[in-house]
Amino acid sequence: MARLSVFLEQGLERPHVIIVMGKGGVGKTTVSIRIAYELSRSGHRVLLASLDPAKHLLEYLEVPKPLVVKEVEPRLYAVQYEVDRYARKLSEEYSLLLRRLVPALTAVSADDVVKAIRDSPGFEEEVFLRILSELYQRTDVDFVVVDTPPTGIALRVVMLPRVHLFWIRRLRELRERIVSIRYAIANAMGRKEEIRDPVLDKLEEMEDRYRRLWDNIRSPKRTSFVIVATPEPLPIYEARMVFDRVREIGSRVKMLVLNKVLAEKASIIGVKEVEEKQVAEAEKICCSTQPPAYLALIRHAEKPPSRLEDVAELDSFIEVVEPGCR
Amino acid sequence: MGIRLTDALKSLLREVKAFFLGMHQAMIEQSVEVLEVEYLELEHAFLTMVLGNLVGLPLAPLSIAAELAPLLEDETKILFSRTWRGADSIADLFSTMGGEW
Repeated sequence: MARLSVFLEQGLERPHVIIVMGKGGVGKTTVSIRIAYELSRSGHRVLLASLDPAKHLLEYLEVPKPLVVKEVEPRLYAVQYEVDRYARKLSEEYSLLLRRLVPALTAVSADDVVKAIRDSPGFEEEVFLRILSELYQRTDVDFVVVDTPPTGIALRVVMLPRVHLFWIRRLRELRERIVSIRYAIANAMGRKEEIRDPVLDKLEEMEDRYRRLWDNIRSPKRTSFVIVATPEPLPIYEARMVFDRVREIGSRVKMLVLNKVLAEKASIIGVKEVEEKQVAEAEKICCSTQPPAYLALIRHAEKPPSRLEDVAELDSFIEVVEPGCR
Repeated sequence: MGIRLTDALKSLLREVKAFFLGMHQAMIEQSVEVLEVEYLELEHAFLTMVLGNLVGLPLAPLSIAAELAPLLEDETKILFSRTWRGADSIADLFSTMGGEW
């Protein structure tokens, strides 16, 4: 059986999270299902979690509705996250808090506040990060395969813990000064002052939590990045960008999957040259990381895969090639 | 005569002691005043960094603010009341400078 999951090396920590990224419409869901299917067939317990707002997973795997975990095969569980619903719940929590802190906001209708928070810049990424963070804590599965939203947002989510850590550290420094001055004042005035500060404790806990998440995302033992593209200039360009960004955070992409490769059919429609050039470019991208990433080609099928059975039958369409540099 | 002299001396010593204690306390309070100003400023800076989003400053991410906010409820109320008191912040400033204004 041709295996996309060949990139998974020995000695991985569980649950190992496989983040599948790529431009919209390149076949991220197909690749995610295939990897999850291969792993479950090898005897691992796998959770396939889709964060993609396109929600193809519901249709592919006949998952009845979002947020319901369905066992689609022995050991293979699938869940479609619905960002909207999750975001609504979270924004309601935030708006309740806001209204408690700023009672004047009760003059504004609740729906408006919830909507304003939900549409705030960065809020959607925040929701994705919460889900991702929960996925790393799953102890009931060996692997979690994450089908992500299109590249831009997925990359921002992955980078988010670094931004959070920056803020938490600055706030912690400031809070430490506040607590020490407050203690010094109380001491000089002969008042009794509690040295522990709940805000400082919370900041320490948050720093610990985000540092762990950041370390997990960057550790090749906990996380594998898989990029999906079609052999066309723009998706390949985007794949290179993701390789660079992942390298920048101190990790590496383990596999680049080229989907819908036309191969011999390319000459019929006159795109042979373009495709060959993009495959060669993909090889170069794979060689740009150390150790080099695997390159997998999935040949174009007459009938695009739309069910688990179709994905399971992709065997004869998949070819894992060794880039020249490997 | 002897007893009266002793009493006077004792009283004088008490006065001197009280004087020095008063001086000591005044010095402590003066230096604490400076610390208190810095403390207030730091508290303001901290709250603005955490909750700046609420007043339109693109600052700490929403999730961080939301996690810390419940612990800062009292401080937040003070911050908002100061913000909305407007002109009174000038009075606050003058009162921290001490003296008669």
